[in-house]
Amino acid sequence: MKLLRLFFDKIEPLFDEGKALSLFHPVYSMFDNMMFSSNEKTPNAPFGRDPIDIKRYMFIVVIALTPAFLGSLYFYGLRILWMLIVSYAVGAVVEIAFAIIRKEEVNEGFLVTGFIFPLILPPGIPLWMVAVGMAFGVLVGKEVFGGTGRNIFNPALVGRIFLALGYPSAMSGSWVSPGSGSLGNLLKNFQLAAPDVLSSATPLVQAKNGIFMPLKDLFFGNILGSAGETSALLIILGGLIVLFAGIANWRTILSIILSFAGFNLLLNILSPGTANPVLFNMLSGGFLFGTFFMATDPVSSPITISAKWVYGIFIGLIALLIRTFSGFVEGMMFAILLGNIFSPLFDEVVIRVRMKHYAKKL
Amino acid sequence: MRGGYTPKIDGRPSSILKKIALSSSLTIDLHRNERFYKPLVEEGQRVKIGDLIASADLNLLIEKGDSIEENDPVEKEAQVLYLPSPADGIIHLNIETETGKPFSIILSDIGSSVDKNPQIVKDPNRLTPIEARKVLVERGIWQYIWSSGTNGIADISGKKKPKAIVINTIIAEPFRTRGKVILNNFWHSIIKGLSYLPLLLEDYGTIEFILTEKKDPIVQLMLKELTGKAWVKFHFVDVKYPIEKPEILNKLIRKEKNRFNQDNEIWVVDIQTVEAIGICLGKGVPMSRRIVAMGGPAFPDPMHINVRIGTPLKDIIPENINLNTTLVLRGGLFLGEPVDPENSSVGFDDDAFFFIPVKQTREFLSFIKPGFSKRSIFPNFAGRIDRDLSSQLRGELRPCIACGKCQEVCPVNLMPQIIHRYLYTDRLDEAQKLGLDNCIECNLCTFVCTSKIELKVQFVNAKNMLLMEQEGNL
Repeated sequence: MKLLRLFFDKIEPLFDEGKALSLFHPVYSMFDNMMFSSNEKTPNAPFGRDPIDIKRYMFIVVIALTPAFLGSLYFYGLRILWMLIVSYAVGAVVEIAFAIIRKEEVNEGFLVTGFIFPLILPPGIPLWMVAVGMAFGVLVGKEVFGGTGRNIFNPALVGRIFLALGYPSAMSGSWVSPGSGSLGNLLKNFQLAAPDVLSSATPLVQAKNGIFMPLKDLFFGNILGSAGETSALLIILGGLIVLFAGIANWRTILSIILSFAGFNLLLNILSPGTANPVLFNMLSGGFLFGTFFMATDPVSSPITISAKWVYGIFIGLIALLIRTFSGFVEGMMFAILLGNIFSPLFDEVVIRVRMKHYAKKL
Repeated sequence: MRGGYTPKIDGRPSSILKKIALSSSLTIDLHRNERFYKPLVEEGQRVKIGDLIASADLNLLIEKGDSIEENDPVEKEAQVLYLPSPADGIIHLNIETETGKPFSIILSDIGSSVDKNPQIVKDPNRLTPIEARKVLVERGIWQYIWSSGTNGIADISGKKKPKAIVINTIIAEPFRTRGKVILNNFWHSIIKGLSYLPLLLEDYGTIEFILTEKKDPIVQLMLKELTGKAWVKFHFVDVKYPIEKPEILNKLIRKEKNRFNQDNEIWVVDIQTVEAIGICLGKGVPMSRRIVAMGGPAFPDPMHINVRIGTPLKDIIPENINLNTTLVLRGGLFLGEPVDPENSSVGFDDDAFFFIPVKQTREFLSFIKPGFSKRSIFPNFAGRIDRDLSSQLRGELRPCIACGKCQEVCPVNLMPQIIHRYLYTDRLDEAQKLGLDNCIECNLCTFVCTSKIELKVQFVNAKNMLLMEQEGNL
């Protein structure tokens, strides 16, 4: 590693201001920061700081997503790996381009966005759509607002919604039957092109027709669905990692689950037969994945702690309403997006209440 | 207290208390805590232990109405702090060449004549409050007394008396002198000091003890000793930084609504001060030493030391510490400021020196090396080198991602992430409306910030700007 460090130190002057490659300084510092830990000194008290930083924060999410990713390789084959590479490459290009334009450092947010994006897409989708969706998501969902930390929406979600609205037939009909047995589809589906056997009958579509998949299949993943959200077990496993690492806010997760399950139960009692059974609803579609990995995105969810409760309840309720009473079979995506839209409002209410409290004290 | 957080850090001082031998010369800094002391002695003068060698005006922020009248010399004289000489010796004044102002006093030809020179001791029943205050001021102890009325050093004149004096035995900041070490070693002086404290109180005032764990033997002993004394009350709290901040203790005590109103003053002292009071008033010995915690990851054998005030740091830092790769902080991890170990000495108000390693190495791919560790506020997967505390920032400055940790740890229930956003867009008024003035500058939010934002510095700057605006309007 010493050689690599020497190499980095040697090329660093090339990126200094006024030099030939100064435009690409963000690229250099990205690689430098990724490869080696920071060497910056604490400028003010406290002179020692907590070891957490953004890279590590983001990387814990990637680690937590790994079970679902490995599961997707097993179910749908190595094609998912291609999707991941395309997603990362496009995300990095857009991110770096904007870092150069803004003359800022490259933010690590795309580590997560690039990893999540292929996992929320149908596994049979053409690769160029992955690229288009990712580019749109990062560009419109994040960069136009000023980059990581300033975006209103979850970039991966924006990309997916763009694809869902722009290419509805591909997005609703590109499901692939998951593999089973000891190796599943692990060594299959090498090809870049979309696989031939496509279907559109996900468990939630079938539920509309009154056919409910067995819960066991939903839990272990013997169903059609987006690449990463097939197996509830693997998602819960990853979800527990982000939960216990403190990266995802437990308030958001708890309130979404309680609200979704609670209102579902209420609906089933008040008007039997309208909504799907509670457990079926929770294990199918993108509910768990959205709850653990998408809704908990700290930037696009409310900033204040109290508002996170409201946000969670809101998402749970909207997801249920969309699933039950609208033409869409999946409600999570739009529910989180609506939650993102409303979260500044929730924050504002909390802030106003707090301001009143302080005004009273004076 | 809401929030609060004590990180897990190596180098916690053991309860061993080592006595440090008297150095050949002592240095007393005249610039401490933004206060300049003027020397009261001359070059070459011989002084005895306890002689007053420097003084400073106590500029109190007293509310309008009872501000000190300019032409009242008696009142003005009452508001002066003194530094007593910590030993016998010959004075040498260190003078700054540019300004001609003395910046420190060096005592050489050191001796200690305490035993030969007994001071007058008075029983608490026969001492008047005025006398007691005078002794405390002249012994240099007054500066340790925090008052809720002034939000700083208490008013000396005696006009304002506290309804309660809070005695804090808990220090959660890594690593300042632990109350238990003082309790264990100076039990008798503390009991003595306690008997003098009511002299400072207003009528029917109380002494409030802040303690941890009821089961501790020393606490049990204290409960036994003090039961039946109606004016002593006990509070048991969790050890979580910044519980020791007087602002927090003040709030904690005031929560008992029926006992205090807005006008009641509450004073806060730590247990080391009570011990000093016991020694000065009870035994007639001038205040001359401090119990100092020496700790931190870069200190090889962390412990407490009993050291004479003015002892150069060189004499108390072990030789096996490489000062080129160590940052020495005066104070604990959160509030300590770096000192030059070659040219600094133990001050009147020091109770800790914290040693942080300065690291140069950059770990390869540190952020993906997995391993759970409780050293971070996130029980995170940390790289091996980065996991241990150092003077490195351990990350890069990034925009706030609203992880919410600052709000979780804030002991006064602020929302630092929102205030940061307001200040980022220059909306000072909104930041103030959101309680910016309540910030007690404990540095916790800055410590835990994932994006490595200098929150406390921003807040202090904003507070100063607001203060300047207010002064401009008046």
